Amino acid sequence: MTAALFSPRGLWRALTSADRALALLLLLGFAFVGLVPRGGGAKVAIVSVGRSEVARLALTAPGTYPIEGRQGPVVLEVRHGAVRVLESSCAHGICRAMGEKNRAGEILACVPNGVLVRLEGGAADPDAPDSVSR
Amino acid sequence: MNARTVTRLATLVALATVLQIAESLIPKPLPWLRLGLANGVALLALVRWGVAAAVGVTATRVVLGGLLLGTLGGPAFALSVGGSAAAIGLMALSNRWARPPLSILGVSVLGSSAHVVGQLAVLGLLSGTGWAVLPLAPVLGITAVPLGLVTGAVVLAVDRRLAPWDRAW
Amino acid sequence: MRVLPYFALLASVLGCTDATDRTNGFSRAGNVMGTVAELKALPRSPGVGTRAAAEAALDEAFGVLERVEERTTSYHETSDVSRLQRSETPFVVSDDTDATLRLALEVAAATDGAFDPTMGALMRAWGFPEAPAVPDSARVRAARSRVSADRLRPEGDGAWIVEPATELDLGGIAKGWAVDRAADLLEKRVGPCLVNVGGDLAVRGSKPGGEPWRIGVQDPRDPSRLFVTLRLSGKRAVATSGDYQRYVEVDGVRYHHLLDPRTGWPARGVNSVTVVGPSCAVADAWATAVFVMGPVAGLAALEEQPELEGVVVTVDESGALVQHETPGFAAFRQP
Repeated sequence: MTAALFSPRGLWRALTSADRALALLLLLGFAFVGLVPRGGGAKVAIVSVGRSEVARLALTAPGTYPIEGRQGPVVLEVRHGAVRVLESSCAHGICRAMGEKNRAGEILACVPNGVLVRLEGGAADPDAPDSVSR
Repeated sequence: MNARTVTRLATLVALATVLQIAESLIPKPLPWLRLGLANGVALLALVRWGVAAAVGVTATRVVLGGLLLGTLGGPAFALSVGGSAAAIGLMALSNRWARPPLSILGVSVLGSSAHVVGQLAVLGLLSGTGWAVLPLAPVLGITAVPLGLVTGAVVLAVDRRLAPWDRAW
Repeated sequence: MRVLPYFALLASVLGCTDATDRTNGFSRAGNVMGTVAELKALPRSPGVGTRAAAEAALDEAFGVLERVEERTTSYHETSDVSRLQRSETPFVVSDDTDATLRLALEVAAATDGAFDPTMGALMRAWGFPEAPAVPDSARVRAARSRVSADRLRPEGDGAWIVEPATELDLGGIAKGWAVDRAADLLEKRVGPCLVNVGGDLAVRGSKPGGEPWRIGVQDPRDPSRLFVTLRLSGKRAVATSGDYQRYVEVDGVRYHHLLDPRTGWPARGVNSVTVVGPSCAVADAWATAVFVMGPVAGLAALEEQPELEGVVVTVDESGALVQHETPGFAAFRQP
């Protein structure tokens, strides 16, 4: 009888329904965690309008930054190491509703204005050189 | 403690220590992270002889394993402590309160999952990087569940086999 | 409990799992040619086996640096250069040495001798690089008489001859040559790359997304600061000659290693020169030459070179940096 425990079917039978539910829950839970945006706090927000990069904002420098979007200005605010859309000239304001983002990989977008903000855990100083000639 | 208890516990400690050492030999892509096989022994102690026995066996095993592997006081040791503590804690609680719906297998799965979470928590805490450890959770956790089932099955089988000899043991 | 192991653990662990690493490149640093070398390579299309291939290429690139050093150094008796110097008859050198010597003579001609590959005697009179000290004028004169690019002649087919009592010093060009060869190799085998040996560097290609490489240039008066950052992509090299690299200070006067071949004494009036061009060897030699020629003549000569741009840095009385640049140099500046 003990040996029967060690076949897949035997194992399955030995599980109570609670066991099965638990195992499933845990598996899903762990898998889900993998979908959370990875990386720790972001350090820089890369702003593009259309396909061109227009600015790199260090999240360590609080302030308001107006960006010229396709339809008008979009004002970004950096504070507490996060960035959000403060004001936007777009009609629906979905971008404003996206709230604050502060983790690497997160995104803010104002589609009508073509403004895209991508967070990266890059160097706090986006101007740090790759190498130095001396 | 009488001689029987001491012998019994010593055997368990020895078994658990051997498992811990054997486990450290398994090549892992991620160093210092452990599978927690030795927690199976703790589970056996838990279901047969109670929380005190389980905690005692685990604590001794963790220290002994650390000494023998030379990792005492180092990062691997901290992870071992954190993971095992979490595993024992959750297993003890679930064994007491959740055993009717759950079986030993369920408790074992909870133990192995807690082991993963415990290790990650220690890692995140001590390296000062906090949530950055999250990416590791899926891989480790998803393997921990079947591992817990298998370990639990072994414990269940051993428990059944030991039943006739309980008085002698 | 020490924290470092946790960082190392986390780094190793996250390194395994983070597939979205922005630079997705490999680097290597080490000691060669008497200085520190730093190599970075970005694989073109990463996949399984990329790591092994990149590491192998980096190893080989390092080997290239060592090979060039071995052949062109004046400090080993068995190097090409040493044997050439000792030989009384035409001596056939390796391709590295041959190419470097030819390039050296070209720059010497183009700069009217401001760059000179035969400076060995003078460098030794000054004790560079190990034990610099100010020699007396007689010694300088004697050494200077043994310096002239005419004393080195190609005899064809890789053979060269050097007049007796002439000492070659390819330090001002061989490093650049090594950098170029290493960069070529990495570009071919891995992808866009950056090779920096002691401050002479070359880039190939650009970073992901077409982003240019960012190259800082050290402030000649403050090694912790950069006075300019350049944006380079494609086949580009940067070389800097400065009065802060090797020198001896006596009575508050700095005697640095960039000697004027015509006087035998350190060139005055310039603090650093940075040259940008497609070849690091050429940039290296020209940086030295422009330094010797001074801000006016040097810059004029540089402007005549279509493929080279550069900046001459001097310090005025108030201690502020003054930058004199060629017209095309601004295009490389990071705005």
